[in-house]
Amino acid sequence: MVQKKLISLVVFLLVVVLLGGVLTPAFGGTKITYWHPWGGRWGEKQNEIVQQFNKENPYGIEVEVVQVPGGEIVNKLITADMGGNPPDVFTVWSGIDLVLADKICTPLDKFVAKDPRFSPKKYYPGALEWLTYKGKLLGLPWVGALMGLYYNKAHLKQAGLPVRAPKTWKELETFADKTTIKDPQGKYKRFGFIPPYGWWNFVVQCSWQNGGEWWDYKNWKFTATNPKNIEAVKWIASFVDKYGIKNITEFNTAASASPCAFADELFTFTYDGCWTISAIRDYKPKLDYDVAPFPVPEGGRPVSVWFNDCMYMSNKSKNLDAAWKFLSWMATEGTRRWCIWALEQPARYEISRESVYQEDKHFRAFSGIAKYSRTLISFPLMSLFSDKIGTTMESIMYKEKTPETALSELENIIQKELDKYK
Amino acid sequence: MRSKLSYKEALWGYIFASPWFLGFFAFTIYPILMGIYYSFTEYNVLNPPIWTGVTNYVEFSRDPLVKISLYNTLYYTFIGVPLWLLMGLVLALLVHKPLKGVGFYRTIFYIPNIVPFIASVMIWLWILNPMYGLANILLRTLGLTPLGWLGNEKLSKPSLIFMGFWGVGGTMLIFLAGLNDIPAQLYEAAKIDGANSFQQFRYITLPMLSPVILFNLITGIIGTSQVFASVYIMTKGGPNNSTLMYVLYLYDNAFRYFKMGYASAMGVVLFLIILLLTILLLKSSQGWVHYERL
Repeated sequence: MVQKKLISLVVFLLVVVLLGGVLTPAFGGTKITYWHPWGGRWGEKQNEIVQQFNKENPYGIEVEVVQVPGGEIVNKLITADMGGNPPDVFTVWSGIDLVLADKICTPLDKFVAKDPRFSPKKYYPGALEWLTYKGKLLGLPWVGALMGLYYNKAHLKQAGLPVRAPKTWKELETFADKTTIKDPQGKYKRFGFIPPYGWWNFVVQCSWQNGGEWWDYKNWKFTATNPKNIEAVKWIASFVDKYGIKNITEFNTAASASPCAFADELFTFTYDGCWTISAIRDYKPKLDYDVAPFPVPEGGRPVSVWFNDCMYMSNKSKNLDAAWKFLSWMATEGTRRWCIWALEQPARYEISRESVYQEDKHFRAFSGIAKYSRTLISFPLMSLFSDKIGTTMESIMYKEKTPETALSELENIIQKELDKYK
Repeated sequence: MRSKLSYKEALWGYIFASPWFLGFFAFTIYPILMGIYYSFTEYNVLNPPIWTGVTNYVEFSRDPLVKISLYNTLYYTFIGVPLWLLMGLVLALLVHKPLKGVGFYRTIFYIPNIVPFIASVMIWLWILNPMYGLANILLRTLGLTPLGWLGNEKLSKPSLIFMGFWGVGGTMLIFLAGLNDIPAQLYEAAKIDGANSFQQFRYITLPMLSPVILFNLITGIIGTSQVFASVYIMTKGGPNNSTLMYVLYLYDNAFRYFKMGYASAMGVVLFLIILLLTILLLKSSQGWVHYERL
């Protein structure tokens, strides 16, 4: 009796599963999946742009959009790839490590070679190099990330300083000292400038401006202990001598709760990206500020670090042709529609020529900054580097190690891992 | 000799339990065994694992961040767990009284446990904000110096322990169940013999609650030594690695640095540490845990 019931149950389940497959409405065209990390109104806009592609494309391609939270997307990509079912196309903030992209993404060289839309001349310096590994182009830029110096003009006027951006590191220190204020209890109420010492792009930019180098791609050498890097790191660390690390970290923690600490006038100067212009427009449109390139050391050179949000095509996609059509549309038209709405840094020159960018002096400032941009070429392990540079800088700022010792240890740790991917 | 019928019944029992067995082996035993295997390999997830013997364990023994993360985790566990248990016990003793409105207080103390974890973390980020936070507003109002909380290297771990009191409602409930289980006759007999409140607590309540204390201690140590989500969201291990917990460092090695083999070795060591602590606790319990009814 029990056996008969079991058999009936198994047969019933089989019928349900088979019927489910048969009754699912069939889609005549090609269906591909696309993952992105944006939520909220940004995610809605991303979905909207994809639906526009679905309506407008003449190829009969339908893209199914899946939002995967930014903090989880890389793990889920790895899991999906190992399971043989990754998305056809995906976008990741700041990109994925090149060693991972090399493993799971389709190289795009043969696709872009035939397509003049993707000529390197169409892109800002560094935009395509950020996605290039051992000579292979592994993805396309979605939007760029460039950093500039935001400065509060009202604070400068109050302090009796010239109302312009400082041109050198020394001048930045002087301006910052004069615009730093404390409350009657002696607690810092506003900092002129706190260097974002935990950000790899800030440390690398200062080093490059000072004539240093971090990565010798041709010889596969990580050169953290380059003397010019050490000088730059010492300059960053000098802010601790002035203000005290406890004051700096507590103030930074406090400021992190603000939607825009610069707009809240907690800082006179801040090193930040193009996205802050939109944040200020939303949050404090009357703020009296401007944007300029980050100052250089005496005898230094103007340089800015470029990195992108990146789009990739999986090498396990069963519809490579359809995936490329979607990816190429997103990387040209899709990103244009996104940039105009989000006011982010375009990776393509032609988008910067849209009126929304030309009519705003702050965006024009970023176009000027972009002229000097460069990137870490073919650096395989950005996640490791960005984490370790943060902890290295903390050990220096907390005076646990000298810059020479800390950077030497960092060099050994990173080089050991890099050598596994030579 | 077992009858044919009893074998048949046992077989059907196993067949009906087989989905659970399959799941247990596939999703628990197999990953554990593979984790132990990977701990002896160089495995970056992108390529097949390469056997390297004890290399990962040697690197583990020399890694300064392992020492820091272990110290942070043990600090958080051995200071936090006893304090939270003590608070849970105190609250349970307070709400054990048959007073009017005690149900309201039991509810209030337990409500934080049903707040979604991420929401509670965001609330605490705001409470402990050095500039805008409720905690410093209270300190300023009382004329005291505001603190750096999570932004201060020396106060970051105590801040996390302080946050842990938010969840003592669950511990309180377990202690409350234990208190309700103590026969009232014991207290009556003690009163007759002239025992005061403290003596009743010391010689009746504590011994009768000792199995519950042991349970809470073991589960508290197992859970707390694997703390991850709160530090991942709130501090990412900073400032200056002061909140770099062991499992956070394990996660970084596994999923950010492509060192799954090394992370697996860290996992094996954590398992052995927790196992050792549990065995030590259980052995020590023979001296202070009373299971028989008096």
